[in-house]
Amino acid sequence: MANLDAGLEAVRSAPPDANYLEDLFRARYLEMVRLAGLLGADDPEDIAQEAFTRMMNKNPELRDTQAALAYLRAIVVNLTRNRHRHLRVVRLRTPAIAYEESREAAGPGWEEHRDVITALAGLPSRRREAIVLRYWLDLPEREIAAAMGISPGTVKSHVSRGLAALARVLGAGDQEDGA
Amino acid sequence: MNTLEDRVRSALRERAEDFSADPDAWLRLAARRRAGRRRRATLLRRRWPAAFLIPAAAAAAVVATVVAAVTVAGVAGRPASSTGAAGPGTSRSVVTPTFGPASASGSAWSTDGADSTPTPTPSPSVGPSPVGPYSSSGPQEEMLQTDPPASAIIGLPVTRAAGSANRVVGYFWIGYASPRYWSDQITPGPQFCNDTVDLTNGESSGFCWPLPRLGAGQAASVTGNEYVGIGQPVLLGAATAQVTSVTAVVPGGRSYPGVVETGRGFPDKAWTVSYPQARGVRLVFRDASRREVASLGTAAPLGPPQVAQPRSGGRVVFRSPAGLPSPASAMTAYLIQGRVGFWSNTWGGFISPVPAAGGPRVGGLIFAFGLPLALKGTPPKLSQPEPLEGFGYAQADVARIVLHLPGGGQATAVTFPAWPGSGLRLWAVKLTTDVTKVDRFVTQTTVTAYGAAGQVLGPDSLGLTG
Repeated sequence: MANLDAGLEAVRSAPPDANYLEDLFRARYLEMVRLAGLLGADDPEDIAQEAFTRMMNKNPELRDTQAALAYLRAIVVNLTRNRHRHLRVVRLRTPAIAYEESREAAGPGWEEHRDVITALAGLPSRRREAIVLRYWLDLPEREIAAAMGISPGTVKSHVSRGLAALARVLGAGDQEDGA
Repeated sequence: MNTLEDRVRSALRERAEDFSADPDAWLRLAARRRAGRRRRATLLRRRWPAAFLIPAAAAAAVVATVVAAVTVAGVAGRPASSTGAAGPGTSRSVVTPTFGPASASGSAWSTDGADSTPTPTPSPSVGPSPVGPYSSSGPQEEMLQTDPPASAIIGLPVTRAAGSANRVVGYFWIGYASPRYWSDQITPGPQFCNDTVDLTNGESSGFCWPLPRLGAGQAASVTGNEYVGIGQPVLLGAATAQVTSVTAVVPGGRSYPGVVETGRGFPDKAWTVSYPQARGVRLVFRDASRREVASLGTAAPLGPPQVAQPRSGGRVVFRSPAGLPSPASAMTAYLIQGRVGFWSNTWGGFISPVPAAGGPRVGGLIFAFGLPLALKGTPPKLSQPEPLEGFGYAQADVARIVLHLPGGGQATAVTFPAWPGSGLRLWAVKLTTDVTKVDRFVTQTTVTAYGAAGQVLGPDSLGLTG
C-alpha cells in the first residue's frame, strides 16, 4: 500500500484531462480485462471496470501513464484476490452444483495449452499472480512487487516456487501421457 | 531459454485472447461512475444532512445561472414562431453547454450530457456557433427526459437544398433508448441518436439506431436517413477518427459537402450530408490529406449489427487461423431473446432474423477471414481467394451436419451444446476451398443434418441464420 500511495502522490499534480483518461482507457482496458481473466476472475470485465472507476473517481488527475498503469494493475490484482476470497466463502455456504463447462471457457484456441493453464489455476494465488505478471506482462520484479504490494525479493521467491510447482505438475502429466 | 518458461508464456498469451472487451465498455464506465457518485451522494446525505444541504443550495444556484444562459442562447437567432420549441430539453441540468475547443471545425455546437457538473456561463467573446444549441419539439426531446444522453449533443449543419432558405441541423448524441419509445429494438444497448431539425419552421425528424460498429478496416458506415421537408434526403452515420470530410457525389460528378464531427463520449465521429434525390449517389470520405478512405453507396450496407453485442453468455464457435488479417478474431454466439447472433471481435456481428425455437433445423453463415462478411443482402466479391469458415446453430436433435459444397466437395461438422436449457447446438467447420464469389458459393451450398443415431434428418439450404 505504501508503494501505491507514493505512486499516486507523484502523479496528482496536473489538471484533469478527460481525453487523457479516455485514451488511457481505450489503450489499456483490454489488457486489464485479460489480466483479471488470467488471474482467474469469474467476471474479468467487471474487475477491469471497477479498477478504472476507482482510479478515475479517486484520482482523476493522474497524468503519468506508467504510474496510472501500475495503480490499475494493483487494483486489478487486489480486486481479483478479494473476489476469490468471496467466492471461496460462497462455495462453502452453498451446495455443490455441477456446471457444464462452457465452450467459451474451453475455447479451441488454447486446447494445446490446457495443461499449463489448468496447472496455473491450481497454484496459490500469490504465486499465480507473480507468474502471470512476470510471463504475460513481462514486468520486472520491481513492478510486480508494486502490483502485488510485496517486496521484490518475495516476488522472486513466488516466481521461483510457482515455476517449480508447475514443473512438478506438468512433468507428472507428461509422464502420464507418455505412459 | 527455459522450455517451461516458454510454455507458460505461450499458454498465457493464448489464453489471454479468450478474454475480450465489451465494445461499449467506455459508455458503461461512464454510467458506472455516475451511479457511484449518486450512491456516494445518497450516503453523504444520510450521514451528514446539514453538510450536504448547504453545498447543494449553492450548486443549485450555479445550475440556475447556467440554465438561464442556455435558454437565452437557445432562443437567440431563432424565429419567433419556433421559440416555443425551445422547451424542456434546454432547461435540464443534465445538458450543460460547452463552447469552443470541443468543436474542431467551429461549425458544430456541443452540449455535454456526460456529466451534470455545471460549467461557467459561456464567454461572450466566443459566443454560440451558427448552429445553436439543441432544441426540438419532436419525440426525441421527450425521450431525452427519460434517457439523458451519455455523450455530448453535437449539432451539424445540413447542406440546404438549392434555392431553399431553410436552416437544418442534425443533432447527434449517444444514449440509451427507452423501450417506451423504441419498442422495436430488441436489446437495450447504447444507441446512436439523431434529431434533424429544421430551425426555420420547427419541423423535426429523428430516431435512435443501435450504435454503429466500425469493423477493422472500415472507415465509415451509413446508419440511417432523415427527411425533414427540405426536399432532399439527409444521410447520417459514423466514421473513424481519420475521416475529416464527407461528400455526396451525384451522377454527373457534382458533389455536395457534408459535415464530420465528434464530441465527448462518441466512440466514432458522426457525419451527415444532404444531396438532391438521385440514383447512383456515392458518399466519399476523405482524411486530412484529402486522400479517399472510403466510398459508400447511400443504402445502409453490410456491416454493423442491428443490436449491441451482449456482455455475457457468449459461446466461442471458432477462431481465425493465425497469420490471417484478423489473427485474434473469435466468432462468438449469443442467444438474444430467442434468436441466435454471432459476433466477431474484429468486424461486428449478425443476428438471425427469426427465433431459433421452431426455426430452421440448421441455421448457418459462412465467414471469409479477410473481409467482414455477413451473408445478408448482396455479399461482395472478394478481391482474392479467401479461406472460409462455415458455422451456425442447429436444433437439439442434430448431432452432425454435412455441407455439400459447389464443385462436389463436402465438409462435416459435429454439433456441440450451446446454452444449457436452450435445446440448441452450435457447429463450425473450416472449409478448405478458397473462393472469391462468396454469394454464389453460399447459394449453391446445401446442408444435410444427421441425428445421433446417424439417421438423416433432412436437407437444408445454407445462407442465413434463419
